[in-house]
Amino acid sequence: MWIGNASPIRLPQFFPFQKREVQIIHRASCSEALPLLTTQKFSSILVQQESNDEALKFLVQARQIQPMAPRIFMAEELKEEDVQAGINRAQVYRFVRWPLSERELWAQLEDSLQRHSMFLSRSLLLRESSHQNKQLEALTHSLEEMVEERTQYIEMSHREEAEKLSRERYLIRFIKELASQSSFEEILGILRKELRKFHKLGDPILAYRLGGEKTFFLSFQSGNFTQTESLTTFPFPKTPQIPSPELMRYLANHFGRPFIKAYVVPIELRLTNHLLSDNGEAILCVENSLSEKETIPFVEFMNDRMRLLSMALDRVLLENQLSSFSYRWEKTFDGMRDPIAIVDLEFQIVRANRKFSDRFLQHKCYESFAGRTEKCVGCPVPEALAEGHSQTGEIQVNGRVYQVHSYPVLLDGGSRPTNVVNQYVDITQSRELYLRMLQNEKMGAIGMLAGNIAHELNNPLTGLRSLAQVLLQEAPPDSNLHADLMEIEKATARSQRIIKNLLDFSKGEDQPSQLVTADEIIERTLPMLKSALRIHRTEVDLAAAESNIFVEPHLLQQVVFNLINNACQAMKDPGRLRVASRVADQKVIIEIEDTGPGISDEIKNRLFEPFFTTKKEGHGTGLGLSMSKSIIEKFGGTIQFHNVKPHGTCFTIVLPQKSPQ
Amino acid sequence: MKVLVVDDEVLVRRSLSRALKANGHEVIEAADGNEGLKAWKATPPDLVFLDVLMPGLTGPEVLKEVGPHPTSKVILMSAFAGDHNMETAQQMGADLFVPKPFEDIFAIISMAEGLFR
Repeated sequence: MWIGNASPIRLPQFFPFQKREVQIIHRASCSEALPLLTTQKFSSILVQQESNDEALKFLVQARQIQPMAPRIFMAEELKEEDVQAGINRAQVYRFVRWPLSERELWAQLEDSLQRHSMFLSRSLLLRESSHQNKQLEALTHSLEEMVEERTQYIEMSHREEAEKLSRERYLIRFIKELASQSSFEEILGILRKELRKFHKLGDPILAYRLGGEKTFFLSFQSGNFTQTESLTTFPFPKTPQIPSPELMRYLANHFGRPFIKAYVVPIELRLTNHLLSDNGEAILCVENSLSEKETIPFVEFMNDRMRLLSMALDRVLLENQLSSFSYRWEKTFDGMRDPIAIVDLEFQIVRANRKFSDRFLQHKCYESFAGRTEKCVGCPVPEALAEGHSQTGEIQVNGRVYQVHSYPVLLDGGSRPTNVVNQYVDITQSRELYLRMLQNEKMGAIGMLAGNIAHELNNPLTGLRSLAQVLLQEAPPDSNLHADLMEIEKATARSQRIIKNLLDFSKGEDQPSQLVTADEIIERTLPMLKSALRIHRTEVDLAAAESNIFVEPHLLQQVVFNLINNACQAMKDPGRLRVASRVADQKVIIEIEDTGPGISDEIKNRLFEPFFTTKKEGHGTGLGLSMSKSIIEKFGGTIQFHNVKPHGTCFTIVLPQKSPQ
Repeated sequence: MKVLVVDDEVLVRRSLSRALKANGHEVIEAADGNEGLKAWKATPPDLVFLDVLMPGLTGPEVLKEVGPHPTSKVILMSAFAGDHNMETAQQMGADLFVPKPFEDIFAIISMAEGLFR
């Protein structure tokens, strides 16, 4: 827009600028141009000074309405105050001195247009950038929102996660705690502690049955763990529930107090039932006064723990059962009369009952049972292990005879036994009885034989002796015939006496005691030992012919026979046997002394033990001395022995003297 | 008097026989129970020495077969004294019991003769 008088310059319609035609609009005065400011947009505004300050005012208006159009002020004379006001008030782009050459004018216009286009592009850019800014701002905002949301979500899941984790940690701790407990009290105690977190909960009650009539209750009564039992049964519920009024009444009856509200959960006894063939059942009951709403977390809480509790309680119940089984077995074995021990392949004792030994562990069976350093003679264990089925043997320990039954144990389905159960049956007495019976039978058989022989011999002996007596009557006295017949008569008489002795000796046990003298007994016995005494020198010194003793003669005879026979056997080389009798202090003493090697200290204490023998197997039963001792003691006497110098043993029998009534 | 000696042991018979004959008695010997029973029945003796254990009939069996014998005295002899004694012998119908072996045959003879006094 050009405002003013353009002449002398002829203003074209259009001005070329940057390949476009810019229209030039010309108005003569500011007042004429003013309305255009609001209706058209201008790229540049040129104003010629008029006489007044209209031009400046217009420029100020233009600045306000179209600030993007650069303003050029043209004046014939440029006053300093006008320039200052132009810059300050209207921000005039150029001040030009009028008139000026056409070329100069077009250059100024070009500049101005350029300026305007720069403004335009700048403003465009600004607009663009501000738009972008706005978009960016929006984006940032939404992003922030998203971040916020996200953060919230993360925070939430974090919390949830933490909650879950802590719950799990809690459960793990619970498991750990349960696992380390070995009694109902401890486990219920842990549960009790956990339940405390919920208020309004009672202490847990465990009820279980193991197939019997009894129902056991484990509960806390005024804070103390208590076990009670009941003989009345009530079916346990099979699922977690609020118990039926009947069950509540049952519990109330048992505990003798009201049960208002409770929650019961069945407990699965998997392990225990394996052992008890599915006869065990249990429930856990928790009294409470929870509202409907409060019940849900509690049930959840219980659900979380029920399996764990079941497992722990099951385990404890099983342990209790097993230990009570094992306790029962132990008691059974301890209660047995016979020693019993389980030994391994190395004779090491694995277990043993009390009868076996009180100090058996870490020992071999022969060490602790027999006090030996190697296995007992007659031990059936090796054979039992080799054969794989039970074997029996006999061992001797401290004068007792044990029949050992060895039962091999096959563990883990193996084919070779790894353990042997040994049962030690003390057969000392029965064997003694058996051998005594055998001895009696032997004596009985000898008696019968002797009876038969005596009969067979007595007949001809009677004839012989009688005939000799008859012939003696007929033979002339002092003749050789008479003397010969005399010898025959004597010999038959002696034979008769020996037979009689033999008969007496071999009589059975049930003979009455009678008054005899020790000397008589000795004299009757010695002839029966003639062959045993043959190689030894015999000294007989009898001085008790006047003193009676009250005994069963044949038994005392057997004792004397035994002692003399032993003495003869003890003397390997020809020696001296002394048989003496005397009376001292109302006692009749018989001494039988040999010159054998004497009795060693090791066997001194065992000499009178039944079955103790130093003779080879089959040569003695080991009963002789023990029977002698019991016979003498039966007569109220004693039998002892001592070694004599330089070597030999003297047995002394002391019997009470008995005066005839 | 007439004496019957029943014993399976020849020496016993011989010695009794010799001793009795020396005292002037008539003696008949029998070697077992059957023979003794036959002799007893043929001529009832005044006195019988009767052994217990013999082949054939035993002494007590012979006594049973003979039945009541009021004219004969009987002395029962046994080498196995355990089963018999004076009492059981008398229950069986004997007058005297003598255990074998004899200590002195003449004492036996005089005991036997004593039965008739």
